[in-house]
Amino acid sequence: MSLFRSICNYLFVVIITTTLGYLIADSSNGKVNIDREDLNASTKKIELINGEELTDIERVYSANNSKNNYVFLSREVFNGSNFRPFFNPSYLDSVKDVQIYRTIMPDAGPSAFAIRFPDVGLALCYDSVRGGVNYVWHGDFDLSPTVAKVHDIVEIKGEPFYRETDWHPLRLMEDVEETKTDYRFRGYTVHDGILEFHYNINGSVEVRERITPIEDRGIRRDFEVQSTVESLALRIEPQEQSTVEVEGGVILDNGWAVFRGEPLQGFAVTIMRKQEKE
Amino acid sequence: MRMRNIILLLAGAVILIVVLFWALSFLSTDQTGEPMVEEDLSYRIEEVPLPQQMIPEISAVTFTPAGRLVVANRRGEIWIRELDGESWRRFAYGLHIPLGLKAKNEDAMYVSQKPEITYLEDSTGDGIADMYKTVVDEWGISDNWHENTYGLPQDEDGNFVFALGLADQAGLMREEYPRFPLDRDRVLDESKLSVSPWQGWVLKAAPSGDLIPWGSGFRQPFGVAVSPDDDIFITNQQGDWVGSSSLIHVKEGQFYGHPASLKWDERYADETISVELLEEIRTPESVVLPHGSMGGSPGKPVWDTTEGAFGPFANQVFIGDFTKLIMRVDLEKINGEYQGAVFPFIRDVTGVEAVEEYSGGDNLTRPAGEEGRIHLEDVPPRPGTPLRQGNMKMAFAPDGSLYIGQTTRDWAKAGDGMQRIVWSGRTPTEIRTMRLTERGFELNFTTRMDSELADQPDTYRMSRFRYLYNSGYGSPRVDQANVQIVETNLSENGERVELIVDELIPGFIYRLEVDELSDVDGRLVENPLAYYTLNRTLDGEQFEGRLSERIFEEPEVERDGPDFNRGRQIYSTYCVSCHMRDGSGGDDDTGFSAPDFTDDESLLRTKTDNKLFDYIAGEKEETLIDRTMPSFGNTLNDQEIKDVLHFINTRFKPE
Repeated sequence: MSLFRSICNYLFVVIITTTLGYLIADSSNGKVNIDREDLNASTKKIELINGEELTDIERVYSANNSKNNYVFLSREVFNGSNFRPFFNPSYLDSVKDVQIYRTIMPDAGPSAFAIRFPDVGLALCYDSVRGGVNYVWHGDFDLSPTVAKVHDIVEIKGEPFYRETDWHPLRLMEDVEETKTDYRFRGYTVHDGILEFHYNINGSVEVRERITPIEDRGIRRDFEVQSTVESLALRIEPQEQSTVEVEGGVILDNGWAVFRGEPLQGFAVTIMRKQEKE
Repeated sequence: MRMRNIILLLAGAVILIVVLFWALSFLSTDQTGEPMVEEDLSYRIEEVPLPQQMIPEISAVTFTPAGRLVVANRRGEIWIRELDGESWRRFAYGLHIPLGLKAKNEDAMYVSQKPEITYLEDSTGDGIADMYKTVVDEWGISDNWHENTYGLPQDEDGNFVFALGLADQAGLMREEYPRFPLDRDRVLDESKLSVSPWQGWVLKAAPSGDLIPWGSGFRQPFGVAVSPDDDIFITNQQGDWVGSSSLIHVKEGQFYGHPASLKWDERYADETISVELLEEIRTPESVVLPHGSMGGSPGKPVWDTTEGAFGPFANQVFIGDFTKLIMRVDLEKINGEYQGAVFPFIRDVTGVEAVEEYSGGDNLTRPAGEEGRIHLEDVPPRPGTPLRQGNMKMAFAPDGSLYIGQTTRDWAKAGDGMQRIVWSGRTPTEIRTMRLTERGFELNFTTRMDSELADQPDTYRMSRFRYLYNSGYGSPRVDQANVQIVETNLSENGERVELIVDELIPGFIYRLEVDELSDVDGRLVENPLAYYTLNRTLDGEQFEGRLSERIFEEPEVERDGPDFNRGRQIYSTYCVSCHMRDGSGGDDDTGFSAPDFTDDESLLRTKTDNKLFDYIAGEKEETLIDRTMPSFGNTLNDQEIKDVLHFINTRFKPE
């Protein structure tokens, strides 16, 4: 039944979006976002089923089939108003593949990544300045606060179960005592729906890091080392709500995981949310 | 429940069919870009349909080598239109405000986004980029709203050319995990700060990723271009230390006026930066785009390399503006340096009302100076153009038409979208060029002019003025005077006329207006206005006075009290983004908070005007630590603060 309902919902969204105009809000996913300066006293208001008010709207198409509330704005009105969703329509993005946005994240360096795995409901923040996964959570994020002229930061919808805060968590063994090291972000690829970050350490050690979800329970980070380095250290910060396991190396008492090889080929880290009830 | 869903599905199908027929019924008219202006105009403006799934805040426009249109938007997407002119695909997404594009080939391109220049490639042939490779990112950012990375032309050596905007003192600046530690110190009274290297600079980046700092002194260098002669040009935006927006030829190692960027110039590391030093080291702009008359915020300059496909302005420069205006610039080299004239090209109704109607008022900024309002009415109105506002990014298509990417976001009423300008084949009656001569200027028209009118000094009106170079937010026009045209010499073919004037003073902008001049067929000059920036005379003379001071005494203007209209303009420029047009203020999560002027507890009731005056004027130190509202003591003078207080009290104070 729920599958059938989902298909109906999806068809409805696609039909309306591709013919009539823009999907501007899906109130089933939470609040409707309105840019602050959209508010215009001279235009009409409309009250949504979830009790929120939209302004600056003249024509709205909506439907309520007991679970999902969609609101649509005609293209004509859309072009003539300041009303903007962040992204339109997200339903035409693949709902299966990882989605990657460079934006303004809380507790992160500038232009950090907001990443979601929509099919499992996991999201994470990747920081290309600090050099790692800053936090992982169940839920979603809202990019629309970043749209305004004087913008705000992304809203995280959920509670992180994993956090990192130290600079440059992956480094050469001899640098484990340093506060920072030489980390340079080099970009990312997405092949067959798999996200892979590229960076180098000390200018010579090329690293590729694939991040994939493990169902909805956590993430796996596969590190592939492209250079002939023999060992690397990864900072493992203590976690309250998740467990961290490594493959291809060992976690030492000093909070670093060590990976060795001749040369080092690769290793993996698994971050799993602790079960709430044992 | 099942039945209900089936009914819903059927209803959806019926709606789909009806709507499809409805949509098809007008696809062949409006949507394909029916000419929207009179047939006898030389240029027509057409809509360029964009993919419906795209938020049309266009931030970059280019074409691939094969001629595919490529469009970026501020939400971080890049869309490519196929050669059929109709179907689109989303090539990339998730970029952080991409503001420059350079297509390498049909499957790969470079993009400048806030944090870096990125190489995008579709390696699998599915039409979608799967590689986002960092080319260069060796500069600082703080997630401030006013920081942007503009680009992205290549010079003849293959270097990417790009420019970094300054950070706004009032906006968010992130301290967590900076690329470079933030330096919030001011260099000299600036309100836009260079908090991290190389903000306020024009830079080159070799394809290998090596960074080459090229020129400094920019505030918001929105438009970056490399001319056909491999010279770098920038449009810089009016504001603090920038008297008026302008087009600037950027040479290696030169400084162009805004002091914030000097923080990163080793040559001045041990110097005390003073106005005198700045005056000495500042290189003048090539062509000033007088604020108000020539818009409020110029976009990216593009050179007409269409070899005549776009009409009689080959090799000239076109610059879109945030308002409903596209400008045309004719450059010439005098003693090896560029200067020249700017003309309106496409324009709409002008004046304060038009500005408020089409541009909101915010970010058109206050027309500079006491008499600023008149400059908004400086350009003769020519209503009815279907051109929208927000004309920030343009590119010539392979067919010679000019594509215009538009965005206003929430600076103003929405003007987002894409249009293009197509030359109809009819030669417009225009001043093609305005060039310097030994004794005045020579106008070269696009067609043969009525000799009786063209050869009369009375047909032309000329005046001159200059802008002051100081920390103020824009400059008034100063040292204004009429210029006497003592003689005219029309060429035999009736297409050129020399205007001999009583005096040519370097350092001034010469304003030319043409009255009722028509060609031999009786057609009036369509845009009878030009501003020539006279940096140098033919014998090499340059301005010798103080750039920061008036040469001539300005007559004192008697004032009875605060000025409501000036207050309104100041409010629209500086206050409206937090306090709202209706004075209702509001909160958000970043620490910005503005009180509601209109409620019963309004501070307009509870505070005296003197207290409010002091609060607006503020103290620098206090601004950064204790309050979310920036102080305006450096930006507004006492009279201006009184004006805006008067406006706020009159408009919003509860009875």
